Amino acid sequence: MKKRGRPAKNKTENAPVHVQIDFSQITKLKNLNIDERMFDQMESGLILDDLISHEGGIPSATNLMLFGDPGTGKTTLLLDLMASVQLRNKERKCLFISGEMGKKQMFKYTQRFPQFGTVDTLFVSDYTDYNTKDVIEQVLDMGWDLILIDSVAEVLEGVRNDNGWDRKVAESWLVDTCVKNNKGENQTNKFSTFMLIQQVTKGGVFVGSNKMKHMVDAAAEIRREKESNGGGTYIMFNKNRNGMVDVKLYFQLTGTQIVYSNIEARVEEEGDAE
Amino acid sequence: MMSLEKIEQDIKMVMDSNIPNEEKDKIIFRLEKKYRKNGGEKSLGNIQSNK
Repeated sequence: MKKRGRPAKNKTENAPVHVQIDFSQITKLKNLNIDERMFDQMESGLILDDLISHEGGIPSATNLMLFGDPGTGKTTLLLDLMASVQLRNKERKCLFISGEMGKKQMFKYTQRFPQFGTVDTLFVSDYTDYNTKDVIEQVLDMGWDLILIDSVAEVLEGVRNDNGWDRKVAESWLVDTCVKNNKGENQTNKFSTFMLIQQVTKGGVFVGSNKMKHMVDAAAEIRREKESNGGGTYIMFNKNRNGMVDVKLYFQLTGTQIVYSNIEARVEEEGDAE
Repeated sequence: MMSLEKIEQDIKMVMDSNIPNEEKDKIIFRLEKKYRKNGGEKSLGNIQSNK
């Protein structure tokens, strides 16, 4: 009897092509040979050091992602962290890649927060005549200890436009570029640490591929509480391979500096999720 | 050089927090070390009570 409906699709039609994988890199754990500099911590002297890692400081060769709503202080908080690292560790090379703000905005910003003035900054808008991919790859290849990218969305947008890539390909490129520099594959053999500012959807959900999620060692969010809950602003890690999770560190922007005012462990309560 | 007042504030903030004791002890240990290195002389008890 003839079957009704659409003919069954050949299941292998759209399956990826299988290639022979080289597993020669499988190794015994005792044979792992890791450069000791990959275990360095970059101290900022801020209480944030103690949340980021149990050793106190930003671990080398890692990737930290910070997300939160616009205007909550993501850039200010991470720039303050980076400037504090730079001030305490003159030998460290720190780079701020500004895709969100231009020179004029940053000038005003630095007048308000003079400590930011010590940070080397690349304005993406200065290099619009070049392919964003080349700009990012070449500047990173100079070798930096700590890199702040503001924001992932802006950089990816530029890379996609300049190369006609879709979002997945661009994200994959960014992940590969970060990992390459994490491993010290740059001119000065620096085991770069990346701090990435990412946007969130309206529901507060992470925007990005699984590949990017896996690359990130620590993910934190900045949240502003409702007035009924105290109206405070806090940073909290919800993923952290090296440090604390579910601890809210409250802060305020007061005049020319960030003041960390209170620490609270997150308590699971009904209606806790905003 | 870090400001002693700022380190004292951090120590007090951690002491007053509800984070698990094990974590709290580790952080306070590090902060106290930093505090002494910068010449701080108050006891932890006096820092907590703002004496």
